[in-house]
Amino acid sequence: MTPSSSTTVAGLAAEHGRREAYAYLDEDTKRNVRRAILKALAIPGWQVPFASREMPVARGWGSGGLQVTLSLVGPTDIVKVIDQGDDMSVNAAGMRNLISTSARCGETTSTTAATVIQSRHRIPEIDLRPDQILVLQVPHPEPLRRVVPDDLAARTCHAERDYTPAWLDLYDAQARLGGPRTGADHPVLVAGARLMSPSPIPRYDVLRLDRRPHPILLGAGRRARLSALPPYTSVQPLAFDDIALQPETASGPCCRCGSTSSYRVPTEGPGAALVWCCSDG
Amino acid sequence: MYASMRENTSLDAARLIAQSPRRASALQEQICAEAGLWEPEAARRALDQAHGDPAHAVSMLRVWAATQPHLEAPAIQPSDIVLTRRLSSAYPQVPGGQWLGFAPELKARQLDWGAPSDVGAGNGSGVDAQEPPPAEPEPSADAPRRDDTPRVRDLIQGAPMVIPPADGMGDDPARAVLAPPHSRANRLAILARGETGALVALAAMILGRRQEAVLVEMTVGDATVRIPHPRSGVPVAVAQLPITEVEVVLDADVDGHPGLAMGWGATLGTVERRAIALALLDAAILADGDLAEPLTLDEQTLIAATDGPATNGFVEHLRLPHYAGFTAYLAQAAGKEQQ
Repeated sequence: MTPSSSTTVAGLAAEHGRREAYAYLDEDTKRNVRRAILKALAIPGWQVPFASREMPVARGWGSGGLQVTLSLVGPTDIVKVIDQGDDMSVNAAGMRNLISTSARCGETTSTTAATVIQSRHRIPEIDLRPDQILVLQVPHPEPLRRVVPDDLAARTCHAERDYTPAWLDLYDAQARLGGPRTGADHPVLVAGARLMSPSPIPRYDVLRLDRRPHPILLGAGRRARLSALPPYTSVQPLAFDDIALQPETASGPCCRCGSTSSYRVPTEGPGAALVWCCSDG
Repeated sequence: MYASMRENTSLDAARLIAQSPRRASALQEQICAEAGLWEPEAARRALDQAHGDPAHAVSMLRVWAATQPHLEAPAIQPSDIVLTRRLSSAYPQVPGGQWLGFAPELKARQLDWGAPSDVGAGNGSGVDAQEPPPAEPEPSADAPRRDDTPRVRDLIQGAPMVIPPADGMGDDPARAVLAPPHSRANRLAILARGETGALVALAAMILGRRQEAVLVEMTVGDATVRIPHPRSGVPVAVAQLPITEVEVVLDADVDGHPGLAMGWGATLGTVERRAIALALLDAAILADGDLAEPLTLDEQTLIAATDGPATNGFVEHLRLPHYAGFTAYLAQAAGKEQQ
């Protein structure tokens, strides 16, 4: 992330010559976040608490992802921020602007040109390379939140790897509704052991999480939790052996590029009818 | 364009409006909304006399309103509502377009120590008694009206909807004796005067337990209120006031199928989180009957519900795009429907 091994945050801050710290966060916060990231990488899928700061975006608007990105970014990085696949949403544009001005790094809307990609609820459509980092914004880090409302009880479930409530819920949905009722945010089993919320990405993206060559860092600022997936981690959706999780289907090709394999969302087309277009286009 | 905004002149204009101080303060609007009375000048006076205590000012305003004569007014017609802001987070682009308008999310959250401050100009509430009341911005002549702007809810296909009970006109919570069980109209009327913080805290608790919550349409508009002329009976315009109207959908079970419950919320003024919270509460009641979900007031819930920046941010985050998640929910609901 840094141009050479001798570059330190303090050196960059001094070079910066401004009152505010380099990359917005003060050094203690950055150290805290980095420590949590390292711990999260060491235990893939585990929720590591960290001292989440008040950020200049509202809580629940990506403050966790922003803290992760700001504690990683260096002056040679090129940052891309997307919001449900969209580079130009107000919030994504604001965060990209904050990161690139406070860290004096490059910004881009191209997936291949970026070194750090912060995303809300989408995995970029183009597969990332090993030298890229994906940061996901997470609203609910606890995958058991609906079946085990008590946080302490949920932590015990994780410690004992006892995911019976989640399996029962899945079975209940299968028996009553004929399949899982999660639209986005389908829980995943990380390294066959720990249940994790992949953030509300569509099922299409959940199925693309397995053995990625790049690290994925998940930050939940409002709930002050970090999780991480190191490269080549096995990530499987919670599903029964004989009933695989089905990705979403779109009933038409993308109206702009004609793609039939990407994740598409409906939007306004000619004559006020809905047409499909790529969500990360 | 809200969702896919390229830098352009209209965005600059929106930013300029967002930074302009020439608007009724959000606190005045909030007090008017909680009092159920649109009179920003009286709210300003009440706030001043209550030494900046909003709760006291709301109470004073309601006490004053109770002494004023009361007129029955027919429902506001959609043709009398001029839209100044409209957005949907369910679809990237919607028929009728997304209008950014005065966008509170564009305001910076960093304290600017360089800007001149009017702290110390009086009561500390940010209300300066010397200044004349700010002029209401006139909606431009080509601004769309509610009746010629299609509803985004009509686009939703593939998921069964909870059908709300048939309801007539509601009663005025300031005048009538309202006793439970309340009709939906009465419930909405009572909640519309609710305290902002309480509404947001409850809405955030509900939101935390749902699978899907999408802001289908939010409109901020100027509504013209008409009352029948006492002699001729012809409706005449007597007031113009800003209103915010929100429709959200929450996941719901409809006859054993995953479906959606459409909640509606509206508030006087432009404090958008009020309207979003109201719509969420309405949708939760429609989805679960009488909020069937048990709400245990344990330590974690209390701490989560009272963290203001967290609950406000969480409720307001519905303004962010939700297309990808919404499409995913509709796809799985439609798949179950076919089986």
